[in-house]
Amino acid sequence: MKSKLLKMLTISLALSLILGLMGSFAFAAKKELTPYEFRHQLTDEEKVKYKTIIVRWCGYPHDNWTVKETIEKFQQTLHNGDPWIGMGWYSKTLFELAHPKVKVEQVAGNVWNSQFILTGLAGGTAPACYPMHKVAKTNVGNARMALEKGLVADITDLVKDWKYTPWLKEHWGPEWERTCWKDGRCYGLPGTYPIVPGWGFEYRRDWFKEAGLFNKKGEPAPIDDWTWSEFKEIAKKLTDPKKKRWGFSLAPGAIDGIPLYPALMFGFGVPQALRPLVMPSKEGKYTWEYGATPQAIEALKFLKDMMWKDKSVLSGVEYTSLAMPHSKEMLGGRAGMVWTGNQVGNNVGNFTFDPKKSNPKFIGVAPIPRGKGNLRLRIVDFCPFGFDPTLDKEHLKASFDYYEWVAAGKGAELRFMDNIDEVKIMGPQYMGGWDIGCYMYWAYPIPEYYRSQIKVSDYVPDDYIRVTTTIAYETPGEPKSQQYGLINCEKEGLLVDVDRGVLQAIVCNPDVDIQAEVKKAADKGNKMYLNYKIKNDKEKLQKFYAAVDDFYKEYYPDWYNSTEYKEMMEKYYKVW
Amino acid sequence: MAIKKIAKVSHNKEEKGLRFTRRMAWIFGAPSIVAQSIFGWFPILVAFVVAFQKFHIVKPCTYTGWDNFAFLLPSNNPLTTLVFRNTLYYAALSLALTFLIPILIAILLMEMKKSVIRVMMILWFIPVASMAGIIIWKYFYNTQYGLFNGILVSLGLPTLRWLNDSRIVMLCLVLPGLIMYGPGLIYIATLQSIPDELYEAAELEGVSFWQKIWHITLPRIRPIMAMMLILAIIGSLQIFEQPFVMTTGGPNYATYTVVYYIFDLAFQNLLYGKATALAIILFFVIMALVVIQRKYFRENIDV
Repeated sequence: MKSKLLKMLTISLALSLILGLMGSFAFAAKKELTPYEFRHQLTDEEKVKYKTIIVRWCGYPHDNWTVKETIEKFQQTLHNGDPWIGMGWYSKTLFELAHPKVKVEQVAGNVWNSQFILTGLAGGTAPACYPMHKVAKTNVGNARMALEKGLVADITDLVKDWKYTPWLKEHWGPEWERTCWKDGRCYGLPGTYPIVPGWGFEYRRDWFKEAGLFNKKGEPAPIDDWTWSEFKEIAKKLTDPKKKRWGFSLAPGAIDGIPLYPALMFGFGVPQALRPLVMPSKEGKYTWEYGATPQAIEALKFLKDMMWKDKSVLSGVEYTSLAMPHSKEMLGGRAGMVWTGNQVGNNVGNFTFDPKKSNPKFIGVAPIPRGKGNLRLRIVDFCPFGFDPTLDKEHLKASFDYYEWVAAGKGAELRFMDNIDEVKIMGPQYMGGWDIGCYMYWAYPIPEYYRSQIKVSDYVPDDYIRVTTTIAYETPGEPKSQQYGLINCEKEGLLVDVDRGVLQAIVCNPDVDIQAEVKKAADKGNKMYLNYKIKNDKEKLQKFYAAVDDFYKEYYPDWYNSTEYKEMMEKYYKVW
Repeated sequence: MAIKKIAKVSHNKEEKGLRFTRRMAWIFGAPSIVAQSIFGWFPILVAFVVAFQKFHIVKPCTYTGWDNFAFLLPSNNPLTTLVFRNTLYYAALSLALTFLIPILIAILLMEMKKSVIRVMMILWFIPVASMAGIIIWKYFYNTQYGLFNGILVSLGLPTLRWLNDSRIVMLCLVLPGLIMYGPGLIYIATLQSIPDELYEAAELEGVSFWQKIWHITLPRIRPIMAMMLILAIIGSLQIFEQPFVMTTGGPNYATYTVVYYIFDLAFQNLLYGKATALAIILFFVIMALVVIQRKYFRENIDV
């Protein structure tokens, strides 16, 4: 009897041991705890250890709430009337609860600073997500260079079945494809940074009023459909040497000056394709060559006349700094107009030189003027964000999930909710340019509830909304050569340097020989940057220029049907 | 025998002392040698490797042979000739103005009263942050509302385009260096160390002022001049701040220098291999010039 009992005891002990071991193996084999299990089954210390996937995040896109990461600073903000910070922490904590293995680590730094990202990539401390054009040290229009240089991760598998992919394709298809896709692989997403409405002009309303320049609505402004000739005349009218006033201030070579170039050229009939002074190579050794059509020369001469005949342009090498001194000249009262981008974001706020005054009262915005046959270029910045290519699969997925959270998910909703609550408490003057910009052109769908709570027209002048709509949504976009596999992105981006030389020559030398300068630039451009041949370029060029023809036929039929257009295309572009 | 023993002992003591001195020299010198190796020589060695690679930040680097150097050949790259020409032009202007003139001024100053010399030394010694100075000069040169054009207008003279005129822009970049040039202080200090008796003896012989300069002053400050010349050559060939701040290499590449091009290649265009290749070419050019300078402008003409 005794021995039987002993046997039973031994067997049951062994069984419980085996079951216990199986249980713990089962527990260990379980991949991730549910949020409930995480919250209730682990001690605080275990929770910390459990979070093994670290997502390094640096403010943007739109998670810069938590930059004040120390507890002391956070406490301060609670009493400073800044719920935005607390909201950020709440959003982050909620995300981490929903993803128990993930910890979002806020890193100090500026994700808009290229060196910060590049040194981080080299040292393994880069933020998980950053603007593509910044890491590639180029402008937004050439953000693609980041993927050409291998500076952003392949996220094709993540976007393949992503719920926002159809939305993005529908709303930002051509821009997204051009900037972030290559050979069927995806490398970036539209930024939650309000997609800039594009490039155009800012002007001094008070100067226009003084000069008696009014549009059809009686506003001191250029008419929305103004032409380049009208722009020239207005610049002349605003110029007054006695008062040290110039009609227009231009940066000949910094970021701002360069997009003016193609806008002006396009108005004179130069198709954009690659860059304005680039056309298919007649020789055939390479695909492209640098050179100017008569239309391009005409555009450059137009600028030269404004500069040296009318003397209505304030420009020079002194204005090539990234601090945008040319823009300050307009704000400070020396120039009546300036070429710039991000108008709404920049201008819905306080006047730079007098915080008591409101910017929109002084600064108006105007679209790019029209040219021959009503031509108007569409330059809409599309600010894509990419992910650190050194991240492993797990970390990339976590980073992608957090991006979704802040761009389109709960994090975005919390942001809008905070906007609404603060406006209700503080009044309309609270709304800054960034915030109101979100409601005008957020890249992802904003739930209708949040849209309905903020009336954009309460914060933004009517002309800002009108012009933004014209630039961003109503101006058709020309086909781009990137979509037809016709460029070497890395080299194409460097052509900016060559273009800059021509522009500077025009604004710095009254006796400039434009043809000679273009020839000098061609020497550099052809030898250094256009010395490549695309495979099957003839077929691709044919397809591309057929698309260009279709574009002009549909949107600018007067120009398309003109003899000038046909001759130009036959002589300079359809050279196969 | 005893004498030999004493001699041997003292010789051993001497040797021990020498060994000890050498050991201490190595110990005290080691930190600087280590720091110089890590931050000075090692990067140069790495540069010689990177110059032969297509250097990527995140992807593995690929060996490209001489491609980076081939990219810089004048036949392939018009910018190479342009930047070297600009840099040598700047160096020539800079040496002519900011090297010779301070020597002349220092020599002439020595003829002044001691109190005047002291004041001049203080003025030269006042630290002026070079970047701040360059920015201020940029505003002086502004064609529309700069100080210089303002002076010209008030004198009834036509204005100049200063930084926008490719014919004089390089001179505009050199001038701030002339005014803010610190080595004048070094020359004055050296001149003050020349014994007065030499000049008195020369005066007794009936030697003229310029003959005194030629036969006494210049030979005595020759070592300093040689050293300052090397530094001036190296500094002027590496010019970057002035074109970067004042003109961003313009107008139309007129002030685009070698180091500016290296900066653009590396930090604007992310072409690190090509930038390093150009840096190595510059390194050899500077080395060659310094070797020539040392051969033909010896510090001590008696050696």
